[in-house]
Amino acid sequence: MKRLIASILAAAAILSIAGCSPKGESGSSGSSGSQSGEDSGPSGELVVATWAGTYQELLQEYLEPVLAETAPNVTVVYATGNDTDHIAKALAEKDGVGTYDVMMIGQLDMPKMTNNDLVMKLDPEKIPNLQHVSPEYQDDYFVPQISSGGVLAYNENYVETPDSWGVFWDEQYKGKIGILETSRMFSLYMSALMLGPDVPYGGDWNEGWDGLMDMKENMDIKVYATNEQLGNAMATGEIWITFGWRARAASWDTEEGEPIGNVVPKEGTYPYLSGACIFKNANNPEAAHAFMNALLDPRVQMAFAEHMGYAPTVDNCQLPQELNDTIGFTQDELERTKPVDAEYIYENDGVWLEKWNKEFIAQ
Amino acid sequence: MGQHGRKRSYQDGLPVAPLLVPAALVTSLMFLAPILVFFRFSFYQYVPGKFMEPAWTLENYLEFFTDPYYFHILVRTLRIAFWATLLTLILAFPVASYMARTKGKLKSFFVIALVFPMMLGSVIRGMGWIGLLSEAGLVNKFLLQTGLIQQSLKLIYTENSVIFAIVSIELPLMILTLETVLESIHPDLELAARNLGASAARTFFKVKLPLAVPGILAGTSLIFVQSMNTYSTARMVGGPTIQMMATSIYTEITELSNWPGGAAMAFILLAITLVITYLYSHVLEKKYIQTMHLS
Repeated sequence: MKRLIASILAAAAILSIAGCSPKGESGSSGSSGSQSGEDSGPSGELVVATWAGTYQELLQEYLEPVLAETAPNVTVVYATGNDTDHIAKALAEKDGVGTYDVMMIGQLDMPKMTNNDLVMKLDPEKIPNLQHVSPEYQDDYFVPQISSGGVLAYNENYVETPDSWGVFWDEQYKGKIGILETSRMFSLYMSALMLGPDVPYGGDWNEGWDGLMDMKENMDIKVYATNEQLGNAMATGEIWITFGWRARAASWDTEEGEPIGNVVPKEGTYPYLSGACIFKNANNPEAAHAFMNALLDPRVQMAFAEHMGYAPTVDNCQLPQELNDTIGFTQDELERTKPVDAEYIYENDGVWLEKWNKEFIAQ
Repeated sequence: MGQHGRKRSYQDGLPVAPLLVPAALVTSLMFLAPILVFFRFSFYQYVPGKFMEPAWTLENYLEFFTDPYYFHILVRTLRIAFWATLLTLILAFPVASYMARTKGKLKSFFVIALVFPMMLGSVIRGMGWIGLLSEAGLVNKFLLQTGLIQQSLKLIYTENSVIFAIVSIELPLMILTLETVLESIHPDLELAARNLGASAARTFFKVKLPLAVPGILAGTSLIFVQSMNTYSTARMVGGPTIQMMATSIYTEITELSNWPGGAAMAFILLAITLVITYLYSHVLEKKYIQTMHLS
């Protein structure tokens, strides 16, 4: 019996040590110095909500060594998943202890975070690399990390270089057009843009619904659940036409697959900006700021350009000419690339999503 | 009152009630408590674009039954679950019958062959179905190369593909459930029926099938409940267009942040599944008892 009690006590001691150790390092504030007291930088665990796959791998491989230069005692933990899942969880945890410190997010989703009071105002002094971000990208709550823009991607073997979004309604491509399940915003934008250049800029995007329903009825559109499935369908010739960010479209054009070209149609497009924000109930805001700074480091920016095709957002990262030609935008294209109103999208997206699911996606 | 008069809640040494406490605690904390919290959420008010506000409203339940979109999803879920269960039963019965009569190494081989696929997650198997059935998948490639078709067939993202994927996942479970019951049916009973002049079909329908009812009941109930609640298979093989209840609940909660709506749908799914399973088991069990009495 004595032996049994001794074993239980020993197990309890081991468990308590194991249980205390990581928490002790991260601490509740997360801003305390390292245990050894050798430096006063951030320490502990930093939970980053991010997309899985290449994106997370790049953070691990390229960002972590940069972060270690300024915050060697920080351990990054990745919570991978969709941004919608992360936002849902953050909303549920809003008034309590948060799981995440940082979330990787698209700029157009930021109003959902700010209007729901989920994120904290950034301290620019703790993110010195912000000085390299161009003023039009600066934001109190969001660090812009990568950029791209919407393009029309097409199979060069079967489609002559298109110059208009109108190909999505061209019946000679019936059954050969694919879109992403989550692309409601761009689909509606494109359809609205076909009605006139001002419709998605100050006008009513809802006018685009008729065009989308027309496309659904006549074009036998294929809907894919993930970017990978959509890219695979393009590369194998299952579909010939789609749209997406140039970063993605460029990656689909491989030597093994079908030749995939991409253009900014004459009607125009809108830019894509993605980055990160810090949750208001973050456990480790100090480490989160150090992470934000590392995101803007030119070495990290270059890695995302080379491996994922997203252009840098800082002025101290110059891409090689060949890479710039593939993932960058020409002056002419930039003139046709106009940002959309994120607040307007936030106000309407709930209704759009419901309509999209019920009327466009559903069979 | 001596030792003999004392009520004992155990038979072989250890008392039973304290042993149930850990399992009861885990179930209460990890299962019942979240269910109760979610049940409360189902009466909250959904605020589009934001989250939810405390309230007592039946709006979420009413919306489900008045919006044809959701009703359509419920009917589709029931349809898929019904066909998947029936097909699984039809395919499993002969295999289970054969297995019940095998012994030794052959039986071990069957059990291993059945358990092995169960070790793979449904997501992995979903990926397999995509590789097989997509337009550029193996099946279409084979049919195109052999000249049997000129254009790729739409084999994935359909109701039928979801049904077949569910059948492939549930088949081992159904076979193993049926096999244990069929094994207990003495082979002499079938032989006796045949000796008395009954045809093979008559022997099957009048002797074997009625005796196998407990296994059919357990297997089909289990498969039906699992099919009604399938998520990953519906998501991967059904794609964005074939929405079932579980995928729709996920969309409500994560994409729309409509927790009250999602919670209401989850309870409607739970209630419908329980009622159907209860009625089905009740009717079949009654029939089984009648048959046994008649015989």
